[in-house]
Amino acid sequence: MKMHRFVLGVCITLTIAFPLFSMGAQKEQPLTVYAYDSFSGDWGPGKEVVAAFEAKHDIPVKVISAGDGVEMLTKVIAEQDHPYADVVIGISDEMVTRAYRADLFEPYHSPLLHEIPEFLHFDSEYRLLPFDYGNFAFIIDSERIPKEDWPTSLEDLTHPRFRKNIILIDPRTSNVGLGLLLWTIHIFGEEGWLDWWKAMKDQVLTITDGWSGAYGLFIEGEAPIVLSYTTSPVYHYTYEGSTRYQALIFDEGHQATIEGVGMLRSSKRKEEAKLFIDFLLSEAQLPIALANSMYPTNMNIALTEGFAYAPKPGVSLRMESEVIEKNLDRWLHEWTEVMSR
Amino acid sequence: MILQCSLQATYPDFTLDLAFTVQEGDLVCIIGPSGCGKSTTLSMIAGLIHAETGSIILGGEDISQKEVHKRKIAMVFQDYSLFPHMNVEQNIAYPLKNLKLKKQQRVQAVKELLELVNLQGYEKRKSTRLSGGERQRVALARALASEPKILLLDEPLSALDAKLRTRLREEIRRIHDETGITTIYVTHDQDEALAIADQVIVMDQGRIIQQGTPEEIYRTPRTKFVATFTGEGTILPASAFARTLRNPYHLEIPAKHRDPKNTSLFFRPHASHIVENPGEVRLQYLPFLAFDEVRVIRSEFQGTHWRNSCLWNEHELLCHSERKPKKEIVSLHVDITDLSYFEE
Amino acid sequence: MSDYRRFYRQKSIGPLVILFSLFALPLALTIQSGVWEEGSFTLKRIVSAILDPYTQRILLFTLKQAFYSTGAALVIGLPGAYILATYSFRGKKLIKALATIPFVLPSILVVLGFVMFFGNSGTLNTVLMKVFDLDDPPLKLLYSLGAIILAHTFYNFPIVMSIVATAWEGLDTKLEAAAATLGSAPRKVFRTITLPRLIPSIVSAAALVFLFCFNSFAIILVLGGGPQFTTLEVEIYRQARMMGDPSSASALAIVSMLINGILFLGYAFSQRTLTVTETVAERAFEERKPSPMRTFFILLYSLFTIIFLLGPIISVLYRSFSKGASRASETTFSTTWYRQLLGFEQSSSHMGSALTALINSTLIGVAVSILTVTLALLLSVSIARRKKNSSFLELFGMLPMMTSSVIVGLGYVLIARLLRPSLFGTYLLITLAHTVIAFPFALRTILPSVRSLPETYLHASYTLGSSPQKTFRTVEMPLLRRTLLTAAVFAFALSLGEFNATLILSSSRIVTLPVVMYRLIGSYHFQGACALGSILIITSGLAFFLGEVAKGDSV
Repeated sequence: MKMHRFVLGVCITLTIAFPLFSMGAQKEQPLTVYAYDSFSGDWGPGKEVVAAFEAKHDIPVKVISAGDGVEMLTKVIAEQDHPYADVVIGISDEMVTRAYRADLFEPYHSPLLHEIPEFLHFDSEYRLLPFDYGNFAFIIDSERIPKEDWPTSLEDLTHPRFRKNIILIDPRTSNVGLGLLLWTIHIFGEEGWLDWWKAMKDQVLTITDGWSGAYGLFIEGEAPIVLSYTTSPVYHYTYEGSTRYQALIFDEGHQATIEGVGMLRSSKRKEEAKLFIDFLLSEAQLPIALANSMYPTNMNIALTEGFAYAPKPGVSLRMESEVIEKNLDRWLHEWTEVMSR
Repeated sequence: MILQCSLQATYPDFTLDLAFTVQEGDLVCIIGPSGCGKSTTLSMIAGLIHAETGSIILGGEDISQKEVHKRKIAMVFQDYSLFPHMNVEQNIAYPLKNLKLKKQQRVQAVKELLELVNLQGYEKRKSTRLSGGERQRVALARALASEPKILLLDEPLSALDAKLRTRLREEIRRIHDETGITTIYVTHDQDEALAIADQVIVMDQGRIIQQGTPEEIYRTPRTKFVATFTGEGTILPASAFARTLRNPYHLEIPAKHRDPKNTSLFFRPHASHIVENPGEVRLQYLPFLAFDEVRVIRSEFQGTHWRNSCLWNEHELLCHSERKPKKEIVSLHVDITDLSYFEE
Repeated sequence: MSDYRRFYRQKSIGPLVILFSLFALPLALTIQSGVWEEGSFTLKRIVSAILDPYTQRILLFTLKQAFYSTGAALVIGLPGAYILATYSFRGKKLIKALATIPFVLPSILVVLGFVMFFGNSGTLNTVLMKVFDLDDPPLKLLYSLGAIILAHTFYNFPIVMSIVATAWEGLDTKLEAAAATLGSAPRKVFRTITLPRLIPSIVSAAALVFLFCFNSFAIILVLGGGPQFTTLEVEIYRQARMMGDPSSASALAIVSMLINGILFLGYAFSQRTLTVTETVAERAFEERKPSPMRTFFILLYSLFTIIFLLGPIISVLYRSFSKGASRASETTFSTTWYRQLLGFEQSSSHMGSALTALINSTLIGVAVSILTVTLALLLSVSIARRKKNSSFLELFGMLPMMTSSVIVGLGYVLIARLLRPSLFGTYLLITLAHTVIAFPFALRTILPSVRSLPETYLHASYTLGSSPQKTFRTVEMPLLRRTLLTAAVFAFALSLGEFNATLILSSSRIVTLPVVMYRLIGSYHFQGACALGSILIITSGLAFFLGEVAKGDSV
C-alpha cells in the first residue's frame, strides 16, 4: 500500500536530520576528558588548563562534565564496554574501591611522581595519580554570621542557632558528601555518627546531589554555611579579593581527601593521555589548586598569597580504603535509613 | 446508458431486496418515507455500501465489484459536501484532475460548467461563503465535471426553503435535459418527484412498491401506501362501487371494477365534483359514482381551490371545489375513469 | 465492509506496530528487568522493594506531597473557577490565557522560574527586603516540602481552575433560579444545588492533579534535596543513573506503574460514573456584574494569578540579562550570557554546549513532531472510520499516559543497554522516547477532529473519481490541517521541554536544552540557565505563534 510512503518519508527525514545532531560534536577526535562538574564548571580550572595544554602540545582536548565524583564514576563504569573518555579527572580516595574493582585504569608511573610526597601516593599501583588534595571543611559567610557565633565542632553545628542555615551534600552521589560521612564516623564512631546526622536534619536548608550545587546555593546567599574544603576561601581571595567566606577549623580534625587522575585502559590515545596527566601534575597544578580550592600535590609549586586564607587543620583524618570498602554499603544504607525518616 | 440493478442486503432493522431498470437518459426519482432504504440504494449504486448479493449492470457491465472511484458514477449529497478548503473553481476542478485534464482545459471546463448552472464568475468564491442554493449548483457542476455515466442526487433540495426548492428543481430538470445524463434522484418529497421525473420508483421497507410515470403513480396507485404517500385521496371499500354506480347510458363497465381481489377503491380529491342541488345533473355520458347525502364537515381555502372534508355513511371523503359549498348536505360525483383499486 | 474501510483499517497496522514496539518493548524490558534474575523469574526484587522501609517512606512521601499539592491546587484554583464561571469582568480573557501557561511550560523551566522568583535571593524576597528594609529574606519558601507544594500548586491550580470553570459554565443556571423561587437562600442554593453538580468536575480535576504530582520529577529533583524529600520517580532515576542499578530501578518502576494504574483507573472511573452533562441551550441569565466587595476580591485574585504565573517567567527573562562584576557585587544589564551561549564568547563547557543543545532540541522536536503527528493521524483515521474495536484501539493509544515519563525513559535506558547505540543512536532513542510521551496528547488532539469530519466529504471525493489514498491526501489531510498543526506544535513543544526521560537516558555527551539547563542549575549557573530558559520560552512561544498564524491562513 502507498500508505507506507508516510512511514518511509518519516524515516528518510530522520535519517537526513540525525547526522546533523553530531554537528559541532567532533570533527577530529580530540582527547576526551571526563571531569566532575566543579572542574569544568563556571569557576572551575578546566577552561584555563585545557587552553594552556592545547597551546603547548597542539592536541585538542574535549572536557566533559560528568556530574559529581560518584556520578562520574558510575557513568564510566556504565560505559565500560563502550568507552568514550580517555582520561578521568577527580576520582578521590574515598571512592577508589569501586574503580579498582571495575579495573578501569591503566597504571602509569609518571616521571613527575617523585615531585609528589609519598603520603599522597594513594594508589600503590599508580592507576590513579594524585593531582590535588585538601581537607573537607565547612565554609561560613562572615557577613551573615558574626565570628563569636561560629561553630567550633561538628557537634556545635547541631546547635539551634544554625537551624536551616547549613547546606549538605548527598554521600550517595558526591565524594564531598561521602567525605563528611567518613568524617562523622571518625569523630563520633560507629555508635554515634548517625545521631549527629539525625540532629542535622533540622539544621539543613537542603541536601544537594553535588558540590557545585551546594556551593552555588551558598554563594547565592541561600544559606550561610556549606560543606566544602578548607581551601575554598583561596579562590575568593585570589579572584575576587574577598575574605567574606572563611573556612571553619575544628580542633577535632578534618577529613582529608586526595583527588586522582587516571587514563582508561580502553583509551586509544594513551600517549596523549600521558602528556595530559603530566601536564596536570606540573603546569596545571597552580590553576587547579586555585580554582579548585585544593592544595597542589607537586612539592615544587609555590603557593600564592591567597593560600594564607586557607587555614591548615591541626588534625588531618584519613580512613584506610579497605575499611571503607568493607563498610561503605552498610554506612550508606544506614545513612539513607536515618535521613529518609 | 441503461442501468439494471438487483440488490439484496440484510440490516438489523430491515431487509433490502429490489430490482429495477433505468433507461438511458431518463431522470428517475426514488421516493419513499425516511428509512425505506432509498438512500442506501443510492449508496450501493455509488459503491459506498456493498450489497450482499445482486448485481449492478451499467451499459452491459456488472460494476458491483468495482471500487467507488472507478465506477464513474457521480453523486450529489444532501449536505453538498463541497470541500471547505477549496474555492468554487478548485471544487469543480477536483474531478477534472482525476480525468487528467490539462490546466487550460480545466479552466475552460469549469467556466462552461458554471455557465451551465448559472453561476458565471463564481470561480474564486470560497465554498464556505455560498448560499444554500449556490452550493447546490456548485455541487451539481462538480458532479457533472467528473463526466459520470450516471448522476445520483441524494435529496439535493431538502436543505433549502420551499420557494428555492421549486426553482432549483426546474433548474435540475433543465440541466438534465441539456446534458442528457441518466439521473437517479432520491427524495422524500412526492411533489418534487412528480414534477421532474420521467419515471418514479416508490419504495417502502426496502422494497419497490411501484414504478411508473409520475402520472401513472399519481392517478392509479397500485397500493394504499403509494396512494397515500403520493398525495391525498379517499379510500372506500370496493363494495361502495356497486352501491353508488350510475350508468345513465348503460355503457359497458371495465372488468377491473369487478375484480373480487380489489378490496378498496381510491380516488383523488379533485376527481370528485360537488353537486349542491339534488336535481342538478352534470352533463355526463360516462358512468360515474354518485354519493348522496354527503355532509360537508369542514372547508379549507387552499388558494387555488377549496378542500372539503365530507362524511358519507361514516366514511370520510375528500373533495376539491372551486367555490365554497353553500349547502351542508351535498352530493359527490366521481368518474369511474378516475378510480383506482388495490388490495387492502 | 467496503473498500475504503479496508483502506483505513490497513492504515492502522503500520502505526500500531510502530507504537507497540516504541512503547510496549521498553515497558516489557523494564518489567523483565524487574522480575528476572539470572535467567529465572523472581518477585524477590519487587517484594524486597515493597518491604524496604526506605521505599515505603519514599512512597509515603510521594503520596503525601501529591495529597498536599492537590489540596493546595484546589484551594487556589476553585475561587478562580468561581470567578471565571460567574462574573464577566475586564481581564477575564487575560486570566484565561495566563492559565494556559503552565500547560506549555516545561517543568525544568518551572523549577528555574521558582528559584528565580521565590528563592531566598529571588525577585520576591529582594523586593520585600528593599521595601521593608530587611536583612534576611522574609519568605523562606524554596526548600523541602513547602517548595515542592508551591511549585506543584503553580503548575496545577490552572488545571483545577479551567476544568471546574468549564463545568460550572456548563451548568444550567435556571436550576438555581428555580431553587431560589422555591425559597432557598443563596447560600443554601449553592450548597444544595450548585455544589453537588460541580463535584464530578472537582473530583476529576483533583484526580488528574494528584496523578501529575505523583509522577512529578524535575521539581522534586531540584527543589527536594536529600533522602527525606525523595519521590518514587526521583528514586528510580537515582537508582538507574547514580547507583548504576537498573534492576532495582525497574522493580521500583513496576511498583510505580501499579499505583499509577490504580490511580488512572480511579480517575477514569470517577469520570464515567460521576459526569452527568446538562444540556443548556444558552445561558439563561447574563453573567453577573460583581458588587464592590466582590470586585475587590476579583481584583485581588487576578493580581495574585498574574504575579504567581508571570512572576517566575519574567524573573527568568530578567535574570538572563543581568550580570554582576563579581559574585558579591551589584548586577548590571548584560548580554554576556547569550553571547556565551551562542559561542561568541569563551565560557565554561556547559554554556558552550548551549548552541548545540538548541540545534539538537530543535531537530529532535521537529522529528518527534512529524513522527507523532503521522502516527496519531493514521491511528485516528483508522479508529474513527472503523466500527469495531475502536475504543480498544483508543485505549491502547492512551496507554503511555498511564506510565510516567521517567519510566518510559528507564525503558529506553534498558534498550540502550541492549543495543549499545552510538551517539547518533542515543539521540534516536531520545526521539523515540519523546514520541511515546507526546503520542497520547497528539491522539487526543487529532481524534476528535477526525471524528467530527463528515464522512460525506470522503464519499463525495470517491464518487468524483479519487481513490481512498488520493482522498486521504487531497481532502482529509487538508481539512485536518488546523488540528494537525496544533498537534504538531504541541508535540514539538513537549519534546523541546521534555526533561525526565531525556535526563535518565542522557549520557554526558547528550545535550538538549532542558538537560543543559539542568546542568547549569545543578552547578548554580543561574544566569546561564536563565538565558537558556529564555531561549526555550521564546522558541516554544514562537512555535505556538507560528502555529496560530498558519492556522489562521487555512480558513
